[in-house]
Amino acid sequence: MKRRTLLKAGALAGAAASFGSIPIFAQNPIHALGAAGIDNDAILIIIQMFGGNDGLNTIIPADNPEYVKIRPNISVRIDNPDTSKRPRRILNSDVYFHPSLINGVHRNGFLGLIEEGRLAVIQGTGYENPNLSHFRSTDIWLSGLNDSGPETRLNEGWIGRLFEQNYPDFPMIMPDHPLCLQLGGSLSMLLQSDKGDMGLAIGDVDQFVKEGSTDSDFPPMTGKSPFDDEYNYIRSIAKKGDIYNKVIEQAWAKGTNAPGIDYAIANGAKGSLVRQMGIISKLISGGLKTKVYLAQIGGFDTHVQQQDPANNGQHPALLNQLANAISLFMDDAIKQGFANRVVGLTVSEFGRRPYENGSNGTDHGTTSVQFAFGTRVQANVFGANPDFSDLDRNGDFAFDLTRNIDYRRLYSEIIQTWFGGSADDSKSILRERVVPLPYLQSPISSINDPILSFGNEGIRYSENLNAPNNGYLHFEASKDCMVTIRLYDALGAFAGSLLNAQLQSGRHAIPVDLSTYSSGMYICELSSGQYRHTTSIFVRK
Amino acid sequence: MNGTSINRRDFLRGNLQSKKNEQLLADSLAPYTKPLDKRTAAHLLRRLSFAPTQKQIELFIGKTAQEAVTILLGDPDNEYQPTTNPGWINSVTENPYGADIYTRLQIEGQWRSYHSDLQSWWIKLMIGENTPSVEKLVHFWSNHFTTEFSYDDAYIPPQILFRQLSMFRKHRLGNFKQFVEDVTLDTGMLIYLGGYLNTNRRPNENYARELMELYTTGIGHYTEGDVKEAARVLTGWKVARYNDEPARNGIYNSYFNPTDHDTEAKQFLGRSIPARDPAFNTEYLVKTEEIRQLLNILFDVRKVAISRFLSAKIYKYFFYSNPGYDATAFIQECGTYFVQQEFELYPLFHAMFSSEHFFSENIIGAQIKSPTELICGVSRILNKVVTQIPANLSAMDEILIDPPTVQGWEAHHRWITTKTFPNRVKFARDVITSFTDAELIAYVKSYPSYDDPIQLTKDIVELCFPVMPSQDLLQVYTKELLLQNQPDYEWAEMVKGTTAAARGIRALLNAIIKNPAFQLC
Repeated sequence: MKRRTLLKAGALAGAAASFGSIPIFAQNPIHALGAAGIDNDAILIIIQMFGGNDGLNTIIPADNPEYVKIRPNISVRIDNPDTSKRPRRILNSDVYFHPSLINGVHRNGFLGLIEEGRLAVIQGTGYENPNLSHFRSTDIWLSGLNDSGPETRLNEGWIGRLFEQNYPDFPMIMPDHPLCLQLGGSLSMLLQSDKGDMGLAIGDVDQFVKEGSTDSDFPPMTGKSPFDDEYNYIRSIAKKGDIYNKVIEQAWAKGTNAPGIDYAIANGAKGSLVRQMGIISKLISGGLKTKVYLAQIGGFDTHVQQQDPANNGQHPALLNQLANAISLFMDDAIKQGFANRVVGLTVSEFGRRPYENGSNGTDHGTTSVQFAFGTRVQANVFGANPDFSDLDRNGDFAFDLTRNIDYRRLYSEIIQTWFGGSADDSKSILRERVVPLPYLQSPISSINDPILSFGNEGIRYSENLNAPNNGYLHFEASKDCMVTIRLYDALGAFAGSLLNAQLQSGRHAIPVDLSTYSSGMYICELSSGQYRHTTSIFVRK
Repeated sequence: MNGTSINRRDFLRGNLQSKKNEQLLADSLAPYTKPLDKRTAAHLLRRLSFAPTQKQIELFIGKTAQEAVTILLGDPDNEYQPTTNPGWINSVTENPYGADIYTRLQIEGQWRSYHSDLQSWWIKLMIGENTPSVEKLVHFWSNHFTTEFSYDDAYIPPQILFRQLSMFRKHRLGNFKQFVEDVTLDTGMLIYLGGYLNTNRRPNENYARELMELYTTGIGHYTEGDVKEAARVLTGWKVARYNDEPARNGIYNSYFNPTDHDTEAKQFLGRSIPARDPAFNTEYLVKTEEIRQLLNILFDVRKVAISRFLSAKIYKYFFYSNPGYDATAFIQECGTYFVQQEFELYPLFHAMFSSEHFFSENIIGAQIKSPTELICGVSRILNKVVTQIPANLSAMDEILIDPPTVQGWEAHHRWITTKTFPNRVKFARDVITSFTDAELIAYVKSYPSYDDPIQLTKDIVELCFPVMPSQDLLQVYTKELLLQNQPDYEWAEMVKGTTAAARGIRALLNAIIKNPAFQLC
């Protein structure tokens, strides 16, 4: 069987489809674009975990006896005599959180988040023919491309391409606010395109505001030599820096963090990632119209002394910081009222080998777990649990599309559901048709114009826990429109169509009969034109 | 192709074509025959050393490229080790891990201060150097055989990093295979890529992988199985870091521990390394029969890949970081020559830097300066001591001997970001601000043309920019900045005083360092 048929639907896109065809003369990334596309005020935060996070010790199949067998020294055991050191079950699933994602974390960390509907756990993410080099695998993850041999240079990120399509005259015509912002370091490939950097990297914001302007104004070179090219590149960066310096200064002065939410921004005492999330919150709160933020945390390359039975070690400390950063941010975003238009997604170049090594650590592996956070995520566990019976010749989890989730499905969901792009947009960015994994609902915009309105409640499936699984879906259409309702299973595979009809404007209650579906979690997707809205439904027998 | 095998990919890329084309490739490594002039002399000096002084340019004008390169490279067998070293290089280090937290922080704090000191010491060495040019090559190798001072949650003691730099200096123009052998058993490298943890019972593949992926062949020339087998060959090496560890070859050196070595036979790149009789499981024999054999196999089976990979690395660092397809033929020619020279670095560097290709218009001025080049350049061009070197390097995203990843710095556009560009300008501006009026006058008087404002502007700009700007811009520099809108004939009088002339010189220099051309070399 060809696994790729699930993903491939036709030849590669030729010319890149554009989100909107209206030229970008306005200077604001939110209002600049046409009716379709990234013209919402949705924000994406990507948290990159450098080094390859050990998924197996993050979301733990603690009931599976193979787990402890394969990791005699570094497993997180369900029979730990100290109950506080035990892993904690996630909702009704049979996988568990590492306790460091919960204990000592703001508002009970990831357990609190998922119980309140603000966290999606996506297991078994990766890609076919996994590469175990940090660099190559990072490039594959950040580029969103996995159709190339090792000699192909991957130079652009999928976010870079997303904006490149929307800003055809970039960087000669640039939005007034930076499209993307990276906290610290030099600019990641994720935010680069073949038109150059689609964002900027800032270390210390105060220092950037104070010293970031160079007051540079030079005419461009008109020649075509490499010198001219490089000169013009440097010139564009100098100019961009001067423009962005001002808007960031304004947002930084105006923005705030909610009372009682302390990220220790000033001294970084709670860790670099926590600090970065605090800065992001403050900038969003101050009105910065940046669409994508990149935060980073290193140290996941845990070859040595990953952890001991008491959960001391590098990995638990990193998980603890990750959970704290996200939990503080979510609480802050909800209190400040911008949570409905922000979603976060973690990425990491690979997971770690199931077998522990001889140094109480783990070596580079294949698939791993990722997280999405926000008020608009489907709070659930996606993807199948790790299968210890299906290891490849390195002893790594084999990547199998019937069980695993191609990492690009996380991105197509962002492109389509979050930024409102079409399937063709997603295809031209990811270079092939990639079925979105339905882990998100559309953002609730502060700009009004959805065709369909659900209030803040989303789709209501009125009696969603009752046998015989009959009930109604309620929604309101603001004008006549074609409405489609489809069901997908937990792996995102199409499970059935519930409605495909032209409806009149007004309130609707669509009767639904799920008695023929097998038990489990389903994603119910309601769509009309560009608009998509999803919610999860449990079928119980 | 010198008898080496032709792989399918090369064939498909059309890189192996007619005899006519081969002739063209050979020409591309042919020497540049014109005598050097002011511009080409400055170009060579900018790339093979750290920014030229007026005096150095004068010295090189009229020489052939080959003569100039011979002078710049110096004697390949001479290590040119510096005569003045930091005071702490032989100090003994306690083991901070397992010590109480106070002791640990104290020891690590000491290392951080040594590492800062090492960076300042090294940059000063670069700034002070004229001919031969040694440190530029050491800087290149330090970015090739990467080691990070701070990685994960640990540090490599700077005493070890200092020794690594000495090793790079020793091998900078020697035999590449021999160089790789010493790197393989280098203490810093054994720590950084986990080699000291690599044992027969608990193999660690980290170095084995990077040896190929990053240091010799590049990715795609080996299998995961080759990585595993190479790791087995490399088992058993230990390091002496702390005063509580055995130091069989002296402190800060590596040694062999036979019980940790995998004595079974190994299969690497389709060839075998025989099993070892435990009676012959000694440091000398394992080094000479296994490590050396591993490298012999690697350099034999993958000679084409290695020669091209290194040539491309040299090209990217010294010629142009973003050459595109244009440079492929030249790089392949360099590779062929490197194989012919049995991986001797001196002839390769000599041929590359005296080639016509190096002096072409596509190369001159195309390279974005690394922070190291910028800092050394500002100091050498302005003839001024620079301070706070570690902080400035960090602000420009190049902490020496502490790259962001094992891949080293990506350079090129990554050097110039909205974070680093303002810091680069600020650094140069701060140096200019540190001049007193009298020092500025003295500075321009070091130019023979100092009493001619038009020529003086041109001479300063020529030293600062690799490609001359338009006449219009030069005129603005002279009239509005240097002369502060005074007539030309007033300059000779102005420069005798201080305040007015100093204001003009400062304005000119501040404009120069803001111009994007100042970031290029």
